Amino acid sequence: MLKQLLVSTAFLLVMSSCTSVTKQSSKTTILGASQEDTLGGTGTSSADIRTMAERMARDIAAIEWENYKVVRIALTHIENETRFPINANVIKDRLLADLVEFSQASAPKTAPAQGEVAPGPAKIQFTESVGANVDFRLSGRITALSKGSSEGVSDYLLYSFKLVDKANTVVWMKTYETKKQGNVGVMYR
Amino acid sequence: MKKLLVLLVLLAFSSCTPMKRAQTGLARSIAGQERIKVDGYEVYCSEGKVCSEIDVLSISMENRDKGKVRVTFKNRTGNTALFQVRLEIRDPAGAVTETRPENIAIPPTQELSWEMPGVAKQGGTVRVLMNTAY
Repeated sequence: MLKQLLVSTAFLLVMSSCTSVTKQSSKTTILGASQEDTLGGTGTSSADIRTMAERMARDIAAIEWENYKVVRIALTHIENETRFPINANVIKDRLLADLVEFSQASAPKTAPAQGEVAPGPAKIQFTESVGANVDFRLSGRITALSKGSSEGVSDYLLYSFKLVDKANTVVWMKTYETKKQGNVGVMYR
Repeated sequence: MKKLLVLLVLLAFSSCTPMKRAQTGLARSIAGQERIKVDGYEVYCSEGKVCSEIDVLSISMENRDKGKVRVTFKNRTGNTALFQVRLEIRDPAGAVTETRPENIAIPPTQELSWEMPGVAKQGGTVRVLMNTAY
């Protein structure tokens, strides 16, 4: 009887001493940047920003610029017209970082000699200020359709990005959409 | 009896790693990772349950650099499904490009064509990695 009790106790001890070492403490949980937190919220999440920036940057980097050796694009501003107080610079910085990263992969390895046409894709350069040497301006806008009732809230967010040339003609435009429904009470700061 | 007690205590302190490995191995085998082929490309589900609830109907990749990859999913369940997708593109030289994980929601029983621009490689292959969205 005592032997059985000891064996059972030891087994339980083995099991309990084998708690996960990678499990985090409950005080602070470190999440992956693309991971959804447990707080919820129907506005912009970090996963949305990372996804939309990657999509836009890859799409812009894939544009075939005919008649250009070098294309200069100014990322000007991102307007927030939603009820959420989002710092638009988070989107802008993520987007600019991705634009630079994904466009470098398509840049020609060697510069063409003077008077020669570039053999590969045009080199894309980015800036945040609009100057005379800028070929295109890239801007974004976040708009929303929000609903609320005693049951909760629902938000459809539309993130639109467009490239316009010097004549203000839209030469490229893409959107990213989210629709989320949840409880009232999550604060965006 | 004392010897047994000492032995059990020693066991308790020395056997945690194999015990944990057995536990996680068992959990992994129950959850079941799965690899399937669709249109000649690999789909990897780190949890087989995702593949059992979401069908991958087709995968296509433009055969040019910076082209698009298109994947068509079907939600087999009666609920709005949420899962995570990543692409792994390998060019003929073996260089790998990975996309960030993207959460995808599909209404009950519906299909969705999902497209990632600018990632295709001429002569390359794509691997679709599906996971639960956390």
